[in-house]
Parts: sequence; structure tokens; C-alpha cells
Amino acid sequence: MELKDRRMETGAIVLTVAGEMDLYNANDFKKAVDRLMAAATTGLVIDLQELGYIDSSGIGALLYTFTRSKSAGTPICFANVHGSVRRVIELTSLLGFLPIADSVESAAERVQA
Amino acid sequence: MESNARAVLHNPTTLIVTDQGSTYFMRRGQRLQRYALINGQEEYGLHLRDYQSDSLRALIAHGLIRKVQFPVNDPASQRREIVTLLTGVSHALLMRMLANQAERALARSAVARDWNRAHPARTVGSAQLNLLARSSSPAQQDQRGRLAAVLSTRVRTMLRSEGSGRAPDAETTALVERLLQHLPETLWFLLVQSSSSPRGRELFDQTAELVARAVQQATIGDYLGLVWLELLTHLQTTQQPGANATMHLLIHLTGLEPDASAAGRPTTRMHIAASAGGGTMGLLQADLAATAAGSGPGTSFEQFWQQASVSSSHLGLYYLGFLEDACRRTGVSFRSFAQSGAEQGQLIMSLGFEGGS
Repeated sequence: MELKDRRMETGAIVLTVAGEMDLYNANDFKKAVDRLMAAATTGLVIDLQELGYIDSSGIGALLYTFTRSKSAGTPICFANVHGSVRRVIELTSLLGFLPIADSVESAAERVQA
Repeated sequence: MESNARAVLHNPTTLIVTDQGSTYFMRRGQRLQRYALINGQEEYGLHLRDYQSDSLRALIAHGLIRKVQFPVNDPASQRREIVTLLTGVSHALLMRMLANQAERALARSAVARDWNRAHPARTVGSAQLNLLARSSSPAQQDQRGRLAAVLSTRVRTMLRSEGSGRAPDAETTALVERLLQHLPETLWFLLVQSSSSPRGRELFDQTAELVARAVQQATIGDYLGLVWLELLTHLQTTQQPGANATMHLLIHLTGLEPDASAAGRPTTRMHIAASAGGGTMGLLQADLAATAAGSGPGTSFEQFWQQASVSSSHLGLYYLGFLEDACRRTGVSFRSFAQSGAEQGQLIMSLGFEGGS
């Protein structure tokens, strides 16, 4: 799994997750979220465009991100959730629970709202 | 995950044939051989590799295959294949269950009673009626096509109303079409014959309900794939250093052919077991026998998972809960248990499903 982060002009931070998120690297994702949550001024966008697979550890990491954002008061939104990752999120009834947007731009607008 | 239908499975897969399957393959000049399974038995079947998931599904749905054995060397790199295999087998079994249920619904219907009275030489369930149903005229085939379209629309409308008003997506629509193709020929024949009568419409409605429920049961296959990925990953972590790294998944299907001992009421069952580690496979054999008898010497998955020393053990139950819920909602009974072997770290986990009652 590869993690890349960048700051948008609006101040939101975009964390791009590429590859596969599973038992062996879900903790790396959580650590990255913790680090970026502290640095984000307006909010955090998690771009899943290049994420090809997620297991239950990865789902747990996404849920961790969501609950962490609530406790930190930093808005968060997931972007570009598609394919098998979207299917797993749908099967686990999280599609209407996690904040999800169709693109990074619309996710950035949501975290600033 | 209907989109996996055309995925290719590369790993060599052992398929054990039913009696019907044996006849089918031998008539086509396919040579069957004896293969050793992880439960210690040797049975006749064939070997496939680099095949489409669709092909395996069709073989199972037509009652030709009763066991599938699949080697797993590395769950992480074989994720898609494992999920594709399990969802494909589940969907095939689902189609078989639907066909059995539709046959029983037909046999109990007023349409069948009226037909049997009028045609004592070609009663429902007879070879004569089966032959007649399969040799319908072009006009009857047209009628059947139109009726199928209406039935498909009805099923999708039912799913939409149960799905909070959301229209079924393309994958669901494709699944509906596939399920309709697996309805018995005699059912289609009699639906066409009785389409304008109140009794025919009653049978039509019953059939639509069966197909809609089968669509809802399809999610069981999705959860099954997710659960087994987690289990196989856990099995891999229990391997002793230096032990044979290959695990095996054995899927045992029953109820695909009419069971005379059950008074003609076949119960479709799927039992999946995975084994890691060497040693005797006697535990697996006992496990299969126990499941068939409705009892099991092992602990439930929930108890096992809570006792397992896995860092994400609480997540291991995550998909299992969804699987149990999906089974409960759609009338499929479900049993799970796990058993550890004393020798060489052997571990057996199994899930048993039963439907079609």
C-alpha cells in the first residue's frame, strides 16, 4: 500500500491510498491519519481512487478514521469509492454511514462546509 | 459480486462429479480420474485450471459437480480467486435451490392438479411432460419469452419495493435473468399454458417471490467470500514453521440431485472446510460427518475467534455477523464451527448452509 498526502489551496489535506489495505498495513494507514489529522486546518480527504482491495482490518481502519475525526473535530470525507472496495463498504452497511463523495473536489467542499 | 462471473481462475481445481455428471462427461469423451481429497478419500472427477468462474457455476447449477477442492498457497495473492470461487459456487447452489423450490411449488399448485387431471399420461414430474416441455413450438417459445420479461419486471419491482425504492442495479438485473433461466422447463411450460387463468397467475406470483428471495440470498455468497478470506489468512498464521505451506479449501455440496430417502424433498447443503498443516485428515472427515448429522465436536466460530490470539480477532467476527444475518433474513440455515487438531498444528474450520426447504 502506498500513502501520499498533499495540501489543497483550500487548506484541506488529501491522503491518497493506493494498492491494497489489509491486516498487514491497516495500522500504517491509521498512523498516517493520526499525523495528518493534527496538521489539517480545514479537513481531511481520503482519496480511494487507487485502492483496489480492502479487508475487514481496512474497514476497521476506515471506521477508526471516522471516529477519530469526530473526537478531533476535524471533518473528514472519503472520495472515489468504487469497485470491490465500494462493494465491501456496501455489504457492511457503511455506505450511508461514512461520509463519501464522488470526487476529491466535492469531498473537499464537504469538509469545508 | 456478479461481475466476477467471467473471471478466470488459474489455480488447479479438483472437481468431483455426481452420478449425473459422470454420465455427462463420459458421453462427451471426458476421461475421469481418481483424485485424492484432503478428507482422506479418493473419488472420481476431473481437474480444471485457467477456467472461467461461469463454467464452474454452470456445472454445479446443473447438478454435475458435488465437491470442489481448491489449493491456497497464499491467501493475500489469491484474494480475488478465492472470492470469485466462493461467490460463484454459492450462486450456483442458489440456482439449484431455486430450481428445487420452484419444482415443489409447481407440484403443490392448483395448476399442476388441474393439468394432472386433464393429462393423466403426462403428469407433473413425469418424463413425458418433461419431454413435451422441452420441445415447445416457436409460438410457445415466443409466449415464454414474453412471460419471462413480465416475470423479470415483477421480480425487479418486488426488489425495488423491498429496497427502499431504489431500482435494482445492472448486476442485480443480470442475476435475475440468470435465475430465471434456471427455472424448470415444466414450470415455464405450465405458466404459459395457464397464463390467463387465476390459478396460473397465483403460480406466477409464487414464482416471482421465489426468484426475488433467491436474489436476496445472493449476498450470502458475497459475505462467504469475505469470511473465508479472513479465515484462510488466520489459518496461514497458525502454520508451523517449515510445514507444508499449501492449504486446501474443500467445498462439499449435497442435495443437488433428488434425495429419495428424504421423500423427494431435496435439501441443498453446502459445507466448506479448510485445512492447514499436515497430519491425518481424519478430523476433517469427522467434521463432515458431524455436520451432516447436525452435530459438531468443535466450538462455534464466535467462540473460536474470541479464543484465537489474533491481533484483529474482533474484526474476524465482523463479516461472520453479516453472513449470519444474511442467512437469517433469507431463510437459509447456517452452522459454523472450528476445530483444532492435536497433531502438527492442524486446524479445520467449517461452515454449513442448508436451504431449499
